[in-house]
This record gives sequence, structure tokens and C-alpha cells, in this order.
Amino acid sequence: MPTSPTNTTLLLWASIPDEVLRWAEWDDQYVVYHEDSGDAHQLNQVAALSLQHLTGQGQVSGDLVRTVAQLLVVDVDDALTATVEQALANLRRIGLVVSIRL
Amino acid sequence: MKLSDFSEPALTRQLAGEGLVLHTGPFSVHVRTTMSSVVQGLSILYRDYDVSHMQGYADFHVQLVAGGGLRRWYKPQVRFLFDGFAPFKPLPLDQAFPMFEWGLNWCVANHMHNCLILHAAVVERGGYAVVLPAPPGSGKSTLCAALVTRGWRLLSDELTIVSLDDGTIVPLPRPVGLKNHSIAVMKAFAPHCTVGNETRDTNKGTVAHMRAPRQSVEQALTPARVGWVVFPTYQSGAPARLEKLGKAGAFMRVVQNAFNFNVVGVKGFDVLKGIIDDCACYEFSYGQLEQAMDVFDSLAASRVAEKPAQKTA
Repeated sequence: MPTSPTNTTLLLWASIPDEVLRWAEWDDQYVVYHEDSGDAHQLNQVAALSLQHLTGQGQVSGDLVRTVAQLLVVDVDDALTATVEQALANLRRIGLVVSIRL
Repeated sequence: MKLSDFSEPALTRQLAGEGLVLHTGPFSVHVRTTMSSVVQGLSILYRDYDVSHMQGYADFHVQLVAGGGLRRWYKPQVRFLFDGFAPFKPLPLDQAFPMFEWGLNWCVANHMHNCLILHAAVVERGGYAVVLPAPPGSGKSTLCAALVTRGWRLLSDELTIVSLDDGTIVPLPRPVGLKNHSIAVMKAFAPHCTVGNETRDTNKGTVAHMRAPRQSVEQALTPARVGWVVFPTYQSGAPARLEKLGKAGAFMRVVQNAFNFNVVGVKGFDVLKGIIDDCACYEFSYGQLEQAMDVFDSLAASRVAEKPAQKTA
């Protein structure tokens, strides 16, 4: 099973159902609460946008990077790609997204 | 009826017999003991509290009893019983009163899941509360003790109880726990305050409790809305310094200091979000209590300048 962020272009990412997530946002810093676990997590803007975009739809990381770039009005580059892939790895570690090998 | 209505001999008889129900904020505690140090601690530190005879309901039923066996004669011990069950290992007999206080904290933190409970001191002035979440050893209780000797109302020095209905703070004004150096510091800072007997060689070092101001005890049923969340740290010799904190980070630090955030569920999240939305959050370091008092006075003055607090009772 792939776990390395460097392999994420081969993965389809999807979030857990948004019905079990609650959000708070202050100054581009986010807290998401997972009702099933009872845990709260602080997310930066890239992680929050990624998670919010993945609710209800799966996406490969390359497409997700482009979506995040559009939302942040920035260019797609290696730094953004790495940031999104790191955010996905962290979200998977805390149980908010899952990945499926294509 | 106040506890001070009992003479010490009468209190001793009552506690050794059917016991007494002590009313501390929203909780009633049925206490029974034959331990003279507990009787003395109660008579010094709880004299302003309402008490009643045991007639029906109490939230907690606690007993402080002597340990059994040979230890009764060699290094005697005390046991804390909750509903007849001993949740902790026995402690040396001279730690009976601190054990009562710690046991009561345990009762509240582990059983009151209709509220969000934070490991935090909380004081109020002008209708707005300052919540002071912090781990042990951060100077939280010393700061809290100093503030309540300077006109701030004590809501709690250890357990902040947040109503899940409206996010207000439910007062639980009990004696303020002091440790080690802070005992002498408080006696010097506020010579008029009443500090109970010192107990040495506990697992926290030397401990003593400061009596809660009578006005705070009398207002135990008046909630307060949160005006500030301040994370205090004592640093020897450091100047008082207040720095604004990002709200998401502050939210997470409050959660880290909550006893039952995972238990109370989404209501706890919603209530805490509302609190953080409405209040200012700060990191605060201090090395001298006088400077700290000035900072907190300025905080209170800033709220008065904004608008009067809404009535929350």
C-alpha cells in the first residue's frame, strides 16, 4: 500500500463525509472537528482548502493542486505541489482523508 | 446555614456522624470524616459556604477515612472514598485535607459531562471572565490567587466549567491551591489573606490552600461571560508581557487543557468556537505579581471602555 507523499500522483484522494466535520476559521487558520472521533485539528489554509474540496468527490493530487492554486490565485509550481501533498499525507494520518491506488 | 454556624466540636460530631452537605457552586458534596485535619481545614477554608443536613440528594458522596491494617499504627494513612469506592491509593495521614481537595477536583472533572471542563483558573471583573488555561507549574494558581486579593471575583482556580447551553462560565469558587514558593509569595503579597495549614512532602511538594473571598462564594450562582483567554507562564525575573495569540492556535490550546472535550461532543466544539469568536486571546508571561496586576487591570479597563457586559444570570 503506498504511503509516501512522492507517490500521491498515483492516488485518488477522498475525504470522509462532510456531515461529520465542523469548521471554524480565523484569519486563514482553520480548526476542523471530527464528530466521530471527537478530535479537533488545526489546519493551515492549503490543508483546509484541500479537505473542503475533497468532500463529496475524489480527486487525484495533480488535479487537486490545480484546484488549490485557483482558489488561492497562485501559479502551480513545485512548492505548491509539495505543500498539497504534505497536507494530504497529514490529513490521511489524522483520518480525515483516504487514498486509493488507481 | 453556613459552615461557620458550627463550632469546631459540633462540626467534628456532625462530620463523624451523618455528615454534612457542602454547597460549592453548582455542586453539593456530602462529606463524612473523622479526620481532625479535614475538620480543621473545612472550618478555616469553607466557613462562608452554605451547608445543609443530608436530606435526599447530593451530587457527590465522599468520605475521608483512616487506612486499615498495621499501617493504622505504623505510618498511618488516609483514604478518599467516592460512593464508598476508593479511586486513589491511600496517602499519608497528614495529607488528608489536600486529598479532600484533590478528590473533589477528580469528582467534578470525571463526572460533570453536561459541561465542558477545562484545566484552567478563571476570574471575573465587570461581568467579563479571564480564563487562564495552563499546565501545573505555570504560575496559574498564584496569578489567580493574587488577582482575587485585588478585587477580581474567583470563579475557580483549577477547574473552569463552561456551560454547554450558552458558553458562560459556571462558578466553582473553592480554596485556591498554592504550592511551594508560591505560599510565601502570596502571604507576602496579600498578608490579609487566609491560608490554611501547610502540608509538606506531597507529590506536589509543600501545599496549602488560600480561602476564597467571601464575595466570590456569595456570588457562586452568578455565571460570567468570557472576555479573554490568557495562557500564563511564570518566568523568574521576567517583565510582564502580554502578546496576542491567533485564535485557531488558542482554540487548540484550550482543547489541550480540556478534561472532557472528546466526551461532550459537537456541543463542546460549538460552545468553544463561540467563546473564541467573541474574546481576545493572549500569551502572558510574568515574573512579578504587581506588574501582572497592572496588566490585568488594563485588560478589564479596556472592556469597560468598549461596552457594558450583558446580564447573563
